[in-house]
Amino acid sequence: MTEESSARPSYRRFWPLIIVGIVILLAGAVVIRQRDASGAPEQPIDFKHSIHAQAEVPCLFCHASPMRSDVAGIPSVQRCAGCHQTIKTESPEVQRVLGYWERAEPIPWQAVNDMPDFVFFSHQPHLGAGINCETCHGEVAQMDAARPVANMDMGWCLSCHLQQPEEKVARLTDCLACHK
Amino acid sequence: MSDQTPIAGEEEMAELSPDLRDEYEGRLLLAQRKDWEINEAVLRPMMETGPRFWIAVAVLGAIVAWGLYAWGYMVYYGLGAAGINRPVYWGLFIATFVFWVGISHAGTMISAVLRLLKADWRRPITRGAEAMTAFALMMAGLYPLIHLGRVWKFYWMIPYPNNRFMWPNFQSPLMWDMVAIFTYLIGSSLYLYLALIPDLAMARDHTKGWRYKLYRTFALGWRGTEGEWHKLHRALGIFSVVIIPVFLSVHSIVSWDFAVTIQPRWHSSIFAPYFVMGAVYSGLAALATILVVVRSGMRLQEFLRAEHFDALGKLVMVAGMGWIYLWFAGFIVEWYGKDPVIMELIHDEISGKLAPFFWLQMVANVLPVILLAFRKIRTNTKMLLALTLLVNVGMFTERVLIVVGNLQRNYLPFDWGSYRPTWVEVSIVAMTFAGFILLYLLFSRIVPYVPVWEIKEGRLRYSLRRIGRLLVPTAAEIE
Amino acid sequence: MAKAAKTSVEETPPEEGVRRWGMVIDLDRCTGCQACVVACHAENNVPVVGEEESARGRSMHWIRVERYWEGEYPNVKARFMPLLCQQCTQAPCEPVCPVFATYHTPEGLNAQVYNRCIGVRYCANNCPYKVRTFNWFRPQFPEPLDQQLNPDVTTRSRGIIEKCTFCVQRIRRVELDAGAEGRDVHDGEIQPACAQSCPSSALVFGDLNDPDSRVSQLARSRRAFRLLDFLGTDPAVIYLKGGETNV
Repeated sequence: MTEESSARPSYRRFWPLIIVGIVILLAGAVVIRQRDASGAPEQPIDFKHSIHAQAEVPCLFCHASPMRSDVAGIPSVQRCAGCHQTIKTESPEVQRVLGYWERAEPIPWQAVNDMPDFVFFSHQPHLGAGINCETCHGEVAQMDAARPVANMDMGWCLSCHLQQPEEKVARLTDCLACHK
Repeated sequence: MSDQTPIAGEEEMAELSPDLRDEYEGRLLLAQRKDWEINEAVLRPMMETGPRFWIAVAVLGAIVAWGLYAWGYMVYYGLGAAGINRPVYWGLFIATFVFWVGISHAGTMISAVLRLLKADWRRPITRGAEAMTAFALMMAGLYPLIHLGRVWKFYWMIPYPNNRFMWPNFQSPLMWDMVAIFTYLIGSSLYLYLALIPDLAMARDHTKGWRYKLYRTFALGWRGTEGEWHKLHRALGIFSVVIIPVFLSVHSIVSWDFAVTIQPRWHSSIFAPYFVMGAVYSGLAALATILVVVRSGMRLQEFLRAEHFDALGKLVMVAGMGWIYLWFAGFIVEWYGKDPVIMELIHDEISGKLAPFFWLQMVANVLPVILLAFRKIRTNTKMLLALTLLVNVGMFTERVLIVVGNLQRNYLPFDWGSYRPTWVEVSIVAMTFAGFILLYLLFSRIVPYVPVWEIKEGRLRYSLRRIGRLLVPTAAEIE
Repeated sequence: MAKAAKTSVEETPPEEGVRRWGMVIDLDRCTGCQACVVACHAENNVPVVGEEESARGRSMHWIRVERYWEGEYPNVKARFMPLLCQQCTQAPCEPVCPVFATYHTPEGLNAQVYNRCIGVRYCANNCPYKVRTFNWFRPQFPEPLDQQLNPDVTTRSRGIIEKCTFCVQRIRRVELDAGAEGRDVHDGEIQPACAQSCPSSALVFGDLNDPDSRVSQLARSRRAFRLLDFLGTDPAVIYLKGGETNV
């Protein structure tokens, strides 16, 4: 081996390593993106928002409290039964709802959007400021089972809070506005 | 090259004092050695590892593994596994952190400052010193992670763009700390590596197998042309200058972690120079300790001679004097001020329950300064080893007293408390000590410990010349 | 008068319409009954760490009643001082946090954002009142304590600092309700748990920037002082102490 060739190391053999690294990074990015756009959770009843919206039932008819409360409210079985004791009683899914009603059990609905424990969120000031349900929850009227449309993280909240009138931004971007 | 070196005759050597004669003999003997002899003298102990080495590696590795278990235990159960409490929120971890940052100081100090000053005795010890800096900083850098309550969120201290618009708080001294330590670690590692390139090339040309592959990769194709040497000297010159403010800033910033608070006895403007001086003191002492051990362990007596320990001992002594001066300058102001909380802390330290530690600190830091004034002691490696170890016992105690001792008392007597480390803290501290020694051991078997090219370069400088009736040692200006 | 003026006017000139929450603690009224401590634990999901950990200095009270003995036996007097986060305007804990987990809100609260805290405990070291508490272990709420956790306050994890917030969840609730009704917050409408539970009304909470609020009127008392005032932390908690009470 000449002096020349021994002194010049070949870096070509590192290329596979670099390519593998890039592939792992890309795969990781894809996996993370997919977690964000997660689908609808498995619900105990095959409830279809779209059918109710076609029947022109407003959101607030079932989710009754966002105008005056922190939570929008999952409708009680009583509310379902209020209509479905007379409407479409032959449907097997409705009969399952009525089953819960007769057994006096709550339906174990799964939350679609869940805030972590350290976040304070109230629907009332948001609706009070004139925001529609669709702004955050998407076109639920077109969906069967509701699915999250936004990855409700802090950056997503801020993307709107920072757009507010200047005199409100300081208060709306204060940590304690949303953290408890 | 060795033919050109004039050799003093027997009768000329006899005219010198015995100490000086030994010194020049050592230099001249080295100057007469051929290149290949030096290469071999450095490379052989690197390749030959006896059972003692592997036993040491196994023992140290076991301590490190145990320390990692203790750390995992603490992360899982919470920081309550350590002895910290209210009001002593920082304990042995932060004290050891300050200690390791301090140790890391002397490496650059010796290497950069002495390279700039063209002090010739630095040559055989620069690499050992720079490696000490890098490894001590690695150990120090673990502590800010270890002492976090939620270590899995450490990356929030790194400024990276994110959709939450959240940045670290650059007002916090901990951020200054992180920036300073990263800068110093990167700078000192590059500095170590730069000076290593010619020796890696040398090792590459004398080895086979995995070592050859390793050295070939890291020697970056060094061939030793005039142009390469020119660039290397330029780069080292720039680094030596640039790294000095960094090295001064690092421990100043560590001291500001304490000094910018309003905790009595921490809130002191002398802390920055006091910490820097203490760091240089403990770092130089640690370097002397390491050199004595490595010299016998790797049979490097030829390169590390009495004159090096003599010079290093003097530096340790001077740094120790500086430490005593700055300690006293801080103490007298606090004591004279008679602030009730500070008086309580001072009383506790000098005659209270911390008194054993305080007096250990004073004896261990002052005694070496007195004894190192004697050349006989400086050049006696056993004495030097004992004294420099003592210095670091003293400096470690000092760090503990500053961090733990001063937190025990504050303005409201209701919140006074005390502190006792648990097995978790002791294990983790032991882990970093073992880890440092382990890294250093492995380093010394993988990389030429003595900077061969610097030795070869320095060899050209020494000769004895007769001027009239006097025999004068000469040193040519070659840099 | 001079002291009260210093509290709110000189050092921090109020902006128009901006509140500055503060508290007055009348030491002459405090009996050391610890009701505030219990109420605070219940309201804020503060864990109880037990005897052993308390003895090691790991007790977690957001408010504690410090008891000092004065004089020699038999002429001994007990002095009580409820101590909670002083919500300093020039808070020493704030600048040292490396991640902005503690900061100052526009309304003068010294906020602690639990889920941002990484647990360096620097704020606790720099707090001269030592009112910040650290979660040394996972907080435990053994049965039936878990049944009374306050849903408006998060439960904290191990390894983070927590402290008195002036019951910010109650402030937020009242402010949101008042906003929904389109009115201002009345003085006395917001009561932190400690003030609400104090049987002798020694603790009064309110807006220090409103000169007519009860807390402002009390702060103007000749008996007013602030703890460790010489440090310049400008606390929002004002103590009243005059005569020989506090047995």
